[in-house]
Amino acid sequence: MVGGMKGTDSRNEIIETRNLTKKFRSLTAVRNLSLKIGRGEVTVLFGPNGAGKTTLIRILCTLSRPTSGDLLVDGLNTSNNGREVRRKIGVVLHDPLLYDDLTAAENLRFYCRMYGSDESRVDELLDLFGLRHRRNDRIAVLSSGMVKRLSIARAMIHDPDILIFDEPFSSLDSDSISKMVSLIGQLRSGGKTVLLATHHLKEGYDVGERLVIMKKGRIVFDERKAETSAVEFESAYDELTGASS
Amino acid sequence: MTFGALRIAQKDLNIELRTRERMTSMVLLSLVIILSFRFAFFGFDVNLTGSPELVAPILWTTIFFAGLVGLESSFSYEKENKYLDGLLLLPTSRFSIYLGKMLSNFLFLVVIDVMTVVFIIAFFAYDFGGDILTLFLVLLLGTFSFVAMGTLISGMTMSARTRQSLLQIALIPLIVFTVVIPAVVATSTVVIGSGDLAPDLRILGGFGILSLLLAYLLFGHILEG
Repeated sequence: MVGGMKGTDSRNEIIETRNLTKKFRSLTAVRNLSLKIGRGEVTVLFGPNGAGKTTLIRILCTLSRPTSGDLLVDGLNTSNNGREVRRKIGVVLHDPLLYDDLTAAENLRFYCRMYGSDESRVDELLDLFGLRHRRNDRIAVLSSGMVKRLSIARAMIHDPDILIFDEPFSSLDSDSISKMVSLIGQLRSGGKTVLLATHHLKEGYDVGERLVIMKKGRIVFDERKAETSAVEFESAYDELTGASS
Repeated sequence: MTFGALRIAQKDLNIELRTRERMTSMVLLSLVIILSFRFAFFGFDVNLTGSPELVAPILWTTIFFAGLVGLESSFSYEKENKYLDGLLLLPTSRFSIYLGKMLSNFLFLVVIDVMTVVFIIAFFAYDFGGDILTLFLVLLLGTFSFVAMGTLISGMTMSARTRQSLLQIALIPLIVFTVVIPAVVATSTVVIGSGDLAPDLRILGGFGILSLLLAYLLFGHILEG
């Protein structure tokens, strides 16, 4: 492992994986992975397609069970505390997880009620993401940028401590990417722990405090951004993954 | 019944009120089946009152077929449109998701129960008389039992490309002796007015509860599998 960073002060760890492995029949997507993520830290997982980023994200947000190993979120083992863990995390996946046949407000209200959050949060988030004027429009008629923003609002409806993003920059135009980078900065300023998986090196580098590269289910690079320049990071990425950034 | 389940059912009802996709298919199918029986058995000479033993099979054939159409789209709507992960990320038990889906399936099928009875009254000029309340008790219990197992099987088959036939292949053998026959016999007992209802109601209720218990034990594994 390049860098060899093992994580943060154990008192401040909010996510910890211990020897996590996920197999799909003969394919091992995540191999014996141990990772500690500190509270309030922005960690970016990089890696080419098939590196295991999405599999790891799905395990972290309890959508998939590991074949072996443990995952602790805020001290809770996900294998027997799935409901409590899901209260602590907000997840933005590639799919927006919003019902096309419901309006923006109805979608947020549904998730708000499911989390037992105050319904005033719906308008608060619609305002925050500049979607108040589209609150009564069905998802099917919103632009993809609006849907992406609304999916982040959905993930934040219960004000979680941890935000997890899977490929947040994909299918966004440059203006929307800038807004996304700015939003992640705001989340960091607000003390949220952010974990995101991306293959967008520049944007990922810009938002991250800690940079992790995965390849074939393993962590092959783990460094703080302060310790590596963008150029050094890109060349390490190319070297370790065999890709050209 | 958990609050989470009620909210999931409410969400399904809101979507159905807006799209009317599922109910339209179910109502049209039930209408076609009733009309087929109407003209096959009686031509233009309407007299089901003289053949009350035919009421139960006509009623339940219609309900089961319309119910299968509704069950098939219950989870596949979530899966195909990629909404399922949203439900799985909620801080609610997997069993609550099952209960929510079961409740919405039950309510949709109760509407079909009522409409089928209305169609029989309308197209066969059949008079249920004072039996109607007891009939609805049987319909509710049979529908609950059918939907309780049907929702579980619908969850199991949602990822399969051939889920419609798989649902039927898996569900029908399970419900022949536990739901179909008891429901038809109990309904005939009510309509004809002789016999003991209790044994068939016990089978229907017992199978419904057994289905809930199986869902409680298995549904988490089914969804996460």
